[in-house]
Amino acid sequence: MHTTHAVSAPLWRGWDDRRVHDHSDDHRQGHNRHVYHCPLRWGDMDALGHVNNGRYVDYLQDARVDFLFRTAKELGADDLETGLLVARHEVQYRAPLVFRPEPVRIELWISEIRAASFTVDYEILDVEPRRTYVEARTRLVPFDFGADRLRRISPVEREALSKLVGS
Amino acid sequence: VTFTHPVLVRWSDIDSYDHVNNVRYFDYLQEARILFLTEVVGGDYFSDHPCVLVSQTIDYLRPILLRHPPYDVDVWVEAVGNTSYTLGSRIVDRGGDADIVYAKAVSVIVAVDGATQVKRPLSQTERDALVRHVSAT
Repeated sequence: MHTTHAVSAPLWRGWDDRRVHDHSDDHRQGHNRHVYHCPLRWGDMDALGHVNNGRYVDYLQDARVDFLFRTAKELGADDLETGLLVARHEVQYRAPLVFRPEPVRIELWISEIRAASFTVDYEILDVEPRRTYVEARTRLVPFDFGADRLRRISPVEREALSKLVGS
Repeated sequence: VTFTHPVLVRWSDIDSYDHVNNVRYFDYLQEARILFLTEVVGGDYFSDHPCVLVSQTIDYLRPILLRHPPYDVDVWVEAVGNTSYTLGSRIVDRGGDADIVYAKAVSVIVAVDGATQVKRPLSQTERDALVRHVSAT
């Protein structure tokens, strides 16, 4: 399925989950990027008439939750959901985005895996015509809420996450 | 610290981990940043000195929890360029003996023409006001 079709097709005429979430599409392009189609809300715009800087980070979060708490979970990393903290966000705002009924495409992938942290990179974009709105990077740390401390990435998680490393 | 703004956590800022969600930090920093610029540069900030945020980096150091009183957000100027400037900020608790820092952020802002959104040189008023507030943390 070509998810780019979802951009022009009416999204809410019945919920087609593949239009929101797709990890098959970009494997074909060799970059191993996860694709998430994020719906905008009218209320995401601020007094300057464009999407507020903080709302992009909400979009990234929804894409990341789909990526890690669903795709990574399907690969066996199901403990991540019990405690995963953001240690750092770096966000570059490239172009303004204005409300529209069509969702915006978010591509995301894992760029680095360390002993007790890993990094997710993202791009928020339109494919046709090609336009990048945001490029961003988040460092995440698994956290054990029971023991109230950071923990290392388990071998099972490492194996799952390595399948999601992209570029 | 020359400028600080209190931010009160809202009930709806809390996520399923029972702490303030990481995205809300962007909102807290924004509140303080806009008030800082309004106070420091003056005027109706966005009409008189249009600008856009082009990059922001946040380091998360501690969880923020729902409570009264508010947390403090400090803002200062780190650098001033021709068409852009860099602000430093941090979310801090001054209630105890020592300051506790929850997050640190660096924000790069570019001055733009309000109508065309094309970048423009900083005006003398903006530049002078910003330079006066340059400080090392």
